[in-house]
Amino acid sequence: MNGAAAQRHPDLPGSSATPTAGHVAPRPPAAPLWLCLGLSRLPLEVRSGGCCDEDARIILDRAGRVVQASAPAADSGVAAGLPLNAALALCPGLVALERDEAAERAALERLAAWAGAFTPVVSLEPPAALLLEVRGSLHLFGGLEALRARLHDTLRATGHAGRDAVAPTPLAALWLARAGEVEAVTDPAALAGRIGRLRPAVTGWPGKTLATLRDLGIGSLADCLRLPRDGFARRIGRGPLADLDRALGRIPDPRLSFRAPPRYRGALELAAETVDTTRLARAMDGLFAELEGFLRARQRAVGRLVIRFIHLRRPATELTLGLVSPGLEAAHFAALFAARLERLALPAPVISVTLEAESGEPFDPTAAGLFGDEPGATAGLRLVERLRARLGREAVHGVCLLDDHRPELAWRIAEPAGAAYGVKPAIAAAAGKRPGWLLESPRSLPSRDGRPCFDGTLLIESGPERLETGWWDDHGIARDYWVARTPAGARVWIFRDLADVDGQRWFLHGLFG
Amino acid sequence: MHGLERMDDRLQTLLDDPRLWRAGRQGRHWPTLSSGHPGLDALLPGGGWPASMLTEVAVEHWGSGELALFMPLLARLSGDAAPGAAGWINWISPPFLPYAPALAAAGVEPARMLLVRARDDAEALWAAEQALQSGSCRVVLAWAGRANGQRLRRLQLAAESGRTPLILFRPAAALAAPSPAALRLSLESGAQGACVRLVKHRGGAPRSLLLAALQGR
Repeated sequence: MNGAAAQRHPDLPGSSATPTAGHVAPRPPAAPLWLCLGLSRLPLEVRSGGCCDEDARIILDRAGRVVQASAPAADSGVAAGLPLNAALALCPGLVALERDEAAERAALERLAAWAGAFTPVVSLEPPAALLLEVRGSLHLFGGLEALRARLHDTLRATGHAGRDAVAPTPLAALWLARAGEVEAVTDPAALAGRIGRLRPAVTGWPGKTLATLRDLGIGSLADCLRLPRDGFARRIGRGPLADLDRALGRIPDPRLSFRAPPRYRGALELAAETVDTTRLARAMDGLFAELEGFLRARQRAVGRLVIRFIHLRRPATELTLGLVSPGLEAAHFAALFAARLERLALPAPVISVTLEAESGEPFDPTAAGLFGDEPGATAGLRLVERLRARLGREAVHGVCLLDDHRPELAWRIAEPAGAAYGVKPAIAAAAGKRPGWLLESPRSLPSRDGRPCFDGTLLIESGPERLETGWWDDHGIARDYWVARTPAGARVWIFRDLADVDGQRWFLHGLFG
Repeated sequence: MHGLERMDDRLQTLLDDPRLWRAGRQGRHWPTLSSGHPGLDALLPGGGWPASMLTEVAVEHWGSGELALFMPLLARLSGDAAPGAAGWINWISPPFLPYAPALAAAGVEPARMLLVRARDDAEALWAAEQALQSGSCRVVLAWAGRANGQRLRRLQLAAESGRTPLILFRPAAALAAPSPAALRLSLESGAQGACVRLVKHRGGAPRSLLLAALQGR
């Protein structure tokens, strides 16, 4: 069969060159598959720093009615729609917070950027859902169920809870997600049956429309689909009819693809004022996880993060995390942050945190390491970062050699591994015997009968070596260096300053070790 | 028959060599790194410094030879680029500045040096543990005054897991306390100059060696 087909279309491989040959495409384009991620807990999550189910709290709308209740509050019987007074009567210790729709929108957009790590086609479905077209990503993640498992794992890391559903059309996926239908619908032929089982309330149609349906005795979408189309359009409306058509894929349902901003900026309000660093670390973990998704979606890595702790009636505490080489892993950011947090003194309790990252640079996972291609190179840079995060940037450094006769100028502090490998300046190589230990600055030694003392009277072993140089700048030296031995057996490097008027003072400059 | 006897003699010389490890007789064996001092290697179990363990060095006076003792090791670790070997020669809170030109003259590669300043002993030991665990150091040299047994055990474990040698320099007073270190040395000043005393080494009796004899100076 195949051979015959090839004979009939001998120009098959080159068919794309001829515009009229569109009908001989090797296989039909894969039908889209939509995953809807419902983030129904968003109102509560954005106002409680990722730990919304620890105490009884509710979110109220402008009219003072409950929008959402945390698990402890819901256990006491508080449900959406109750007025505040009724909620307080059911659960006296309740914390009531006003809904912050702007923060919800911002969180939804950040999660849309995060979801870019799974597919390039992400669409916002405000107020609390994302639509992801995942057909093209299935082979990358090893199938639909593997992708969904991965999505949930990484979503949990961001501190959000979500439910997902999968269907061939975006609207059907959204409705299934609202109904909590976990089982994926991948076959378009099965769609009508699965949609039909849903109650009309999942569509989000206006209350009047739903009331009309209820009055007609319609309890499921299957009942709606059984009604004659013109009658349904007349009595219920054209909008709901079009929705049903879109959900079943009878008419196209184009979706606007979300475009993420170039820079990540995350903010999170904490559940309560706190100075507890483990709480702060937990809140930051969520933001770091969001940032990782943001960066992965764009294949970018960042070298600097700015974290701000917002206090009440006080300027924010700012903290900068510097990476030796740009990175994108949340666990890496979190480890650096934890080390940094240990030496951070917070001036006041923190009410919210923000995380900002620069736009970053292209991430190259194959970049050559510090010491050539040794696998330990990345670990080496990680170590520098971790030590710097806790001890401070200036406490960790490398050294490099300089071409100068003055002992204190023959080297300097450098970035770790900033020095060229295997390069030795000519002077350093030619210089006489130098001590392995150098004092940060020469120490004046007491003398007894004109002989210097350090741990007892010193015994001169060899010298002098005259170093008289540097007259051209402000750090000229004129010294006679000697090697001496202490009574205890240590060998030291001492000098007399020739510029000194009486020339009798001795200085200790190094130990031979 | 004659040849066999000669073989026996040779075997006996081999067996008498303390560097030779024999299963069942000397207990645990560990990989070692040659100290670069043949006289010292002959005394050390396994024939050198433990390659992934804690070596504790008590020093009476800084500058009495502690650098010279380890310089051949540092020089060799700077040079060889065995595949998979990571980079740093890590100095954690040394009492003075390790003077790069002198170290370079002795063969230590400046580009491999990583200097860490810690504010106190606790920070220095924390940094040493991080360095060992990262597995990115060829050797970790650390200086600390106070360190309790539990802390030292953690360092010993970190050295084993990171397969990195840790040389921990301590004041002479630290010898009074027991330690989980595989090898403990003491650098003491004697009548003839500084000498190295092997205080504790698994599978060997305490011995003393004149440092000057090792260096031939």
